[in-house]
Amino acid sequence: MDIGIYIIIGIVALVLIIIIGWWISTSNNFRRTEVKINEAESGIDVALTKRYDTLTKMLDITRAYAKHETDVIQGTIEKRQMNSMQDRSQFNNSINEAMGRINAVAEQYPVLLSSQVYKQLQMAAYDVEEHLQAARRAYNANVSQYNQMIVTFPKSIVAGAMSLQKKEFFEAESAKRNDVKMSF
Amino acid sequence: MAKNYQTNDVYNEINVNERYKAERKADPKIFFYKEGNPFLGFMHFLRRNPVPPKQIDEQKLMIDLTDYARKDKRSKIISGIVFFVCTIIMIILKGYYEINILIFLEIVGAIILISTIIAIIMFIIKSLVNKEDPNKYTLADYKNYVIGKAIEGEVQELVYEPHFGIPQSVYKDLNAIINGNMYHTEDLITGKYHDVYFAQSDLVVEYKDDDSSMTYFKGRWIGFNYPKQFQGTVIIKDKKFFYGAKRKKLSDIQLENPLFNEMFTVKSSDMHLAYYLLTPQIIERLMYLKQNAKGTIVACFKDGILHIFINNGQDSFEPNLRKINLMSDIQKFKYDFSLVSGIVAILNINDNIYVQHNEEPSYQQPYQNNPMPPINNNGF
Repeated sequence: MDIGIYIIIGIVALVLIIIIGWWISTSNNFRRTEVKINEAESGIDVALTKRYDTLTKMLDITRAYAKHETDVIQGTIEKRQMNSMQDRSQFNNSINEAMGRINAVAEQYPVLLSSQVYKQLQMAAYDVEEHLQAARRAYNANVSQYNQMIVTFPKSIVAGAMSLQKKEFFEAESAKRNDVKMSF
Repeated sequence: MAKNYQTNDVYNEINVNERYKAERKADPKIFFYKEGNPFLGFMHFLRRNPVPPKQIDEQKLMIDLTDYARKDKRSKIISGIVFFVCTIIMIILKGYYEINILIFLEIVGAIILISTIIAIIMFIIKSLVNKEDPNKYTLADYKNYVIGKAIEGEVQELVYEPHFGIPQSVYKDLNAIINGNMYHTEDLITGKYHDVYFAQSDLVVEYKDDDSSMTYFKGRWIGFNYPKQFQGTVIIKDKKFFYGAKRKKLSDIQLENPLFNEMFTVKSSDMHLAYYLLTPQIIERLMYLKQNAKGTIVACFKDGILHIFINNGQDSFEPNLRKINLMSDIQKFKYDFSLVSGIVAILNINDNIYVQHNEEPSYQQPYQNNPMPPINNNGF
């Protein structure tokens, strides 16, 4: 055979190797990002469960002072299956609402408000809230990167072949979004 | 006019070399408490030999310091003259008598040896005949006094130790900046500012061999008791700082702020931890700190403590011995200390929402009569 054919076969083989290498690297990148997203998602679940537990403890303490109001608040929240990010967002919003209502009830009872146990629970609630925000930011940052990869050419070809779908963000409550103050 | 200040003079009581040696060998994990506030364990370590402060007579201090400055100047002039004379002798020997290079080097070696022996003999005779007044104040006393004057009232439980700083084993354990083969730290100040325990010292890390020398870090280390409790490591490195340690086991983290990602690289043992510590407010404040620090910065969160390294090439507090001025030195130190107070304010470290640390019994006051017992077999 002519040497020119060998050169052409060589070039084609090299191009194929490059394409296959790029394909493997891109699909691995998608998988890695998915793992990160799953980690962040489990972080959100852990934080939400902790928030719920803290809220339950706060309700138990408040019940001794205001049984009726506490029972009403208790009725508005219940632990639910969190299959989608929308479920998680709704659950989080209901906890936020319940927290606000408990604090409003506690305001009426200075003894409760000043008790050491209640203060510790408030601190715990704040810390869990920080963890939830961290998990939310980590999740959304990774989802954003993942979604960008899915829609950007040529990675979108790999994403299509792998049947990857865009993932939904974990939305913060609008009041929480406005919470970030920058002051020096 | 004798006055008592809450500063320490342990530098007169400890063998500096022994402490350096022990610090290099010690396991850094023993410095930090595993439960409760880890920084208190570190403070216990840093202040492990507290002794009562020296009585300071301001007038005598100024006289002694002037004397010290005069002697310092004189010794520099003598050294200069000796060096000049030796150089001239060498040039004459080499140039006029055209001596072989090997013989020339032998003569140089002999001159150095003889000069050293003469210097040692003179030093021994001088120290036997003319003993130094033990009550004489030193430069360290002056710095101690200035620091006390500058920040007394602002800082509680203040301790100054001129010869010590961040222990080398702690620096190595952080592994945020490359380890050189030369390590020097001094001017350690520890205390509590606005309910935040802190420690700061000057630090120089270099690599030197026969052919080359490289300064990896020259500036200030400041350690803070961080209000959030956490286990793990997050390293934030200025992209313009080129001597960060390679940490392959830590993952690269991209935060949601593109400007921050342009300025810093973030590595962490845990993605969630990085987002938990680097809140949007802290991100903004680190960027602000970088713009105002007059140098490159490396921040390292590790096991409940925030370490900040400011690579500004400066020695933070050295009084001008040519022109001693107490008031000007006090102002200078106040300005130097504004870096610590500024970081506390900027990063909002004294945020009292996380009060777990503050509820713990406070660190014992320095200079109590019951020095702390050693906490391991290395003499700590």
